[in-house]
Amino acid sequence: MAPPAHSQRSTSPSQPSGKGEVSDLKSQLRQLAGSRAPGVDDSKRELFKKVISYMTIGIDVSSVFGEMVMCSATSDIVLKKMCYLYVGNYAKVNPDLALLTINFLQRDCKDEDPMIRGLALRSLCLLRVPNLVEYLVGPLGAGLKDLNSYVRIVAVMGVLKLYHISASTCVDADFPATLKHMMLSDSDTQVVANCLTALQEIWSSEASTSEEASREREALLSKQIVFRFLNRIKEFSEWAQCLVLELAAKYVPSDNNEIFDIMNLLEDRLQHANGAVVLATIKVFLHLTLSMNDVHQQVYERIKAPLLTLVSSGSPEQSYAVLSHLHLLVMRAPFIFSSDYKHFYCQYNEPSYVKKLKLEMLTAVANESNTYEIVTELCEYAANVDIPIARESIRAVGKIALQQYDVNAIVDRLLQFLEMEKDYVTAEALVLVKDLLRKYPQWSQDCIAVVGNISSKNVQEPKAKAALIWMLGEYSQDMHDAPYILESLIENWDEEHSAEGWKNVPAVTRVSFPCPKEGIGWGWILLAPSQVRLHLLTAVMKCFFKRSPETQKALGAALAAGLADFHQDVHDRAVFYYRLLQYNVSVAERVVNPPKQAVSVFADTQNSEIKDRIFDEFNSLSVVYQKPSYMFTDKEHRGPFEFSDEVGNLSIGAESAGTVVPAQRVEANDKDLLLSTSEKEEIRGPSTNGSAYSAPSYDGSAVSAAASQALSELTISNPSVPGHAPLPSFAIDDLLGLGLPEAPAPAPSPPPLKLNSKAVLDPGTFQQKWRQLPISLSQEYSLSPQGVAALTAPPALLRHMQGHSIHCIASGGQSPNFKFFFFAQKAEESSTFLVECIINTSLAKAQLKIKADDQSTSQAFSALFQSALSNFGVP
Amino acid sequence: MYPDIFPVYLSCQQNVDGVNYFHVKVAGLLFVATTRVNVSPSLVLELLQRIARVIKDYLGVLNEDSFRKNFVLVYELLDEVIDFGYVKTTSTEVLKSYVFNEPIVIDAARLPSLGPAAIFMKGAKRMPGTAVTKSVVANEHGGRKREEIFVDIIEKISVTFSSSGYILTSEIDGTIQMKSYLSGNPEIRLALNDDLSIGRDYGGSSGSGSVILDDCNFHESVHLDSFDIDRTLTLVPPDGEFPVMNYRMTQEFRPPFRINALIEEAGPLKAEVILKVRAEFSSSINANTILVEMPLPTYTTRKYSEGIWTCQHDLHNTNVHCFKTSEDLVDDMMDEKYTCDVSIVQKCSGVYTANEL
Repeated sequence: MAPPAHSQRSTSPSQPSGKGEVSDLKSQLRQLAGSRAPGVDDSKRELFKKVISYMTIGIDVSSVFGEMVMCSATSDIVLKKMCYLYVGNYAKVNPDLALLTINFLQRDCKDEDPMIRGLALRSLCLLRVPNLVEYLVGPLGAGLKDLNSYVRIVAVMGVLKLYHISASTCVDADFPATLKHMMLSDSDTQVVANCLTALQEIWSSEASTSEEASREREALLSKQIVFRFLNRIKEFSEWAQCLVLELAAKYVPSDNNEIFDIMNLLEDRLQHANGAVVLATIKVFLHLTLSMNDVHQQVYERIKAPLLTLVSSGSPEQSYAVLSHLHLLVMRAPFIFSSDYKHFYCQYNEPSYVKKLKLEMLTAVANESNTYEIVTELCEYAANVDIPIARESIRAVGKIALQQYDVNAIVDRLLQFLEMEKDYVTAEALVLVKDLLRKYPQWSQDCIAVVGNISSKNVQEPKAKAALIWMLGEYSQDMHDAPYILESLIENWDEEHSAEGWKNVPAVTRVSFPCPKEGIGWGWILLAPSQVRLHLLTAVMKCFFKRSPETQKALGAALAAGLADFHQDVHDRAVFYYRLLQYNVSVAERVVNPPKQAVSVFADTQNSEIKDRIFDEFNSLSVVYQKPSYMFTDKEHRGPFEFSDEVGNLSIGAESAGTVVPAQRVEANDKDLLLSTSEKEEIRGPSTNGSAYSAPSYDGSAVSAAASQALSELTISNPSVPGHAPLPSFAIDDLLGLGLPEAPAPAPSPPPLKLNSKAVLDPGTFQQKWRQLPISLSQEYSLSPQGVAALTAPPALLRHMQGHSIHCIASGGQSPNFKFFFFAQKAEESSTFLVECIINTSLAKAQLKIKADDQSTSQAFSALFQSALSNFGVP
Repeated sequence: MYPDIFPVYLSCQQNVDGVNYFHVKVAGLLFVATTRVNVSPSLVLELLQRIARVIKDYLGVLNEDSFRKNFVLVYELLDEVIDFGYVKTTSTEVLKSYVFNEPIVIDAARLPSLGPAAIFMKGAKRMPGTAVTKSVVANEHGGRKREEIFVDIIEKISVTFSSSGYILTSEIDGTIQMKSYLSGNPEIRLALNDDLSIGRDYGGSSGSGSVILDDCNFHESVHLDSFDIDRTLTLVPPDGEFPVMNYRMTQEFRPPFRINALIEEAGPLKAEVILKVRAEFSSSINANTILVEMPLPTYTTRKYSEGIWTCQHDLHNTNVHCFKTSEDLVDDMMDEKYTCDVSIVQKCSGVYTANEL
């Protein structure tokens, strides 16, 4: 009998303890237990229902365990089922009570009624008490041989349950072999499907320790087994079909005929009403035809209509899942939906998560032929009552503008947004116009004319304000009153401290800003109000170089305010600019306002390797989250069908490369504002929750932080700091010497070869150069084993080399032979290196051919290249 | 994790502890699943939807009350649908032989009748369309089952009109829904239009009257053997409710209603909206439940003050008016019965007041 203490265990304070009721129930049950009166089953049912309802709402009724078991000695199946439910719920936490049930469950396992046999067997396996497993083996063995398929179905799952309670007991009883036999011979498809499920799970987890299990696991993917299932696929239930299709997606056909056989077999599965079946079929089609380009394209055409039907026929939740997959496909093959763009128009009553995905789809399918219509539609949404969606729509227009070559019409629309006089529309549009100008400087005239009319008072969101300030600085020569707007902004310097302005903005918005040059590499920074001040400092500097007489006063005020600012970054930057100007004005100009190259391609949110991995995991959560499974699941949960542990291990290795390297790369780049916050979140992962100071982009600046500490001490000792007037005049004195010759360059130290991390070369030029230049160096080089292991696909190496400022222009090949063309540029001059690199992973050899503009440095470059290559794969 | 993106639905969002949460909303109830495994999202969402359907088949009506009364039955169903995280079956037909609890049927008469228009409510695209609220297992009084089958055709028509009344986009998503109470599982044939063709690429002969579906899919019980010849679907309907066929068409068609909207700014803080709805079908057809909805901006406080933009509107946030039948149209709606058309002109004006502007 249960000790009374049990009855209070899980009682929540808000619930009545139920203690009185439970003991009531207990005595009533006890009365009924021995009774054989007619109608007693009905009263038992009522009592059982009560017990279960208490259980459901969280009252601990484990104290009536004994009575429940006694009462269940009945032939009434409804009562039995309720009792099994009760037992399954409490057995695990009360192992001693579970022992009580073993007897009657074992007896029921031999009942005449197959339903009772099956139910008892299932309940027996649900006890999950390790020291009771010995009682399981016998009934399970009998259950697997039962004549009734219901019992066999239960028994097969029972084997899997047993395996999870005690793997050794399960294997020792030779159950896996029995299951394998049943999988190939049983007449009931549900039994067969359950066998497949159980075997996949058992062998996958055994494979790490047992050679044999790993062989068995491979055998599941043999032609014989896969085709056996595929040929019978229509006999399976729709859920079992998903299982079979998942298996087929892993199968590697031996020749093209097999591929066509499978596709013909599965063709009609695309017309299934169950979205899960359709998506699983599509996965098979896509993966089978990966190597056959033409057929792969035909598959895209074929799956289009069924997918669109799924989007419109399911619940919004299902539409969401399917749309996520469409989005993945459209990223790989933008053409497929380019004529079906109208399907992605939002309907007013759709939930916002569907609308958001549809907006992303519209952005992705936009091309020359449909841009006009899509942008027109998106512009309608800009006035949507749902403000987040309105914002997204404007961003979508901007994204389309940045990916199109013919931006003529779109620019007009964006400028119209600026004139709509809704502050969130203006805010979004400003940010977009800024990005647009960075890519298409030729539009500056048109844009600046409109931007100039915007009153800075109407712009309150930090990122919009920052964008406006950036444009004011960058185009101060074209905007008539730029210096005065800046001046008025500086006058309100302190307003930027106040937090209340950001009410409508997420507390932490992360944005990247263009950095002048490598020097001040502030890539991804928390966008606090301080960012606006930082921008203000830079903008006023730029403005000063262009229109010094008008800006002088503003610059002085800005520097003074910056120096007095309590924010460390703002203060440091002000000090930095101040000293820079003091040192040499023209050097300062070169640092702060160098000629800029238009951004040709904004950083992609995801590198192609990650996209490929997501594609490999088609029809899984990876697609919805837009990240590969290793980023969000433990290894053990990666999937019931995750077959290859080796790949799993590799992926973890790749993870460190995959998360660290791109992050650095992104920081180093002056990249985009285009990513939505969530996407950035994904890139940076959990570490981004910290403050600006703990953000990794600051890690490298520990030294400079120390230096600026020293500087600030210096400034503090400078008596002129607190006052506003003396310092600016001091600064201005220096600033007047604009005509001074350049300061002597620092003595050139013998150059260790430095490469430009943002080198740019278009393929045409590369080819031309490659033809013209002689080979200056040709070498063979051995790869480290780690390097070979990590080189599963070209993108991994590309990313790695990019981290060393060596960029890839073309790559190809399949294991074991890969071929790459790299290029690099010297940091200071535009001297280029071209490399052809052929890697054979089975021999662990790399052949290098290096060509260089400046042959004298090719030796140094080769050394650098090799050291970069040898680091590859080293964690 | 993404509060700004999915404010209400955290569907498929991943938690810190590696648990993935799924939910679907059916008839105001949330069906939730969790997993740590990287499963197919469509599979889980579809499964949840099916579970809801199975439960509805059994309970007759799906709502909180019927759930509460029948939770033991729901437990039993769930036990038979899923075992150890794997789906066994979601077919009401199959489940019938495993499930023994009798449903406690709640009185359907007390329920507000939703009717087909309910599909437009609460963001759910499709609700169980039939007005049939009878459990597939419960017997009628006297223990005799009525041999009947319900076939519903539910079409969701989406049309966008330009401000000048032209049709910009039009689309029909349709479902043929069946709910069978037949015993003995007889074979049923369902003949569709002879001139039905599937796939827009089938030649340009979009002659008058022919119906061109963009695409369609079928329930697994449907045999398509003679579909290509005479457009007949053959099926043995399983018990319970299921979609026989889903289809989608973008072919041009005459919309049943035309809508015109006119917005005038009657002042700096006031706007006047005139909505005209015109029925384009013959007077012999009764439109059962018409619901006109007009979303209005929910102006929240913005930067300057705590002041709330109140919307003093006789219709509050969303302008919802229910018109039962054309006879019910009164007051501010003109009922032009004589012209065989129903045309509704509704005028409403909104006044916005703000503390500060």
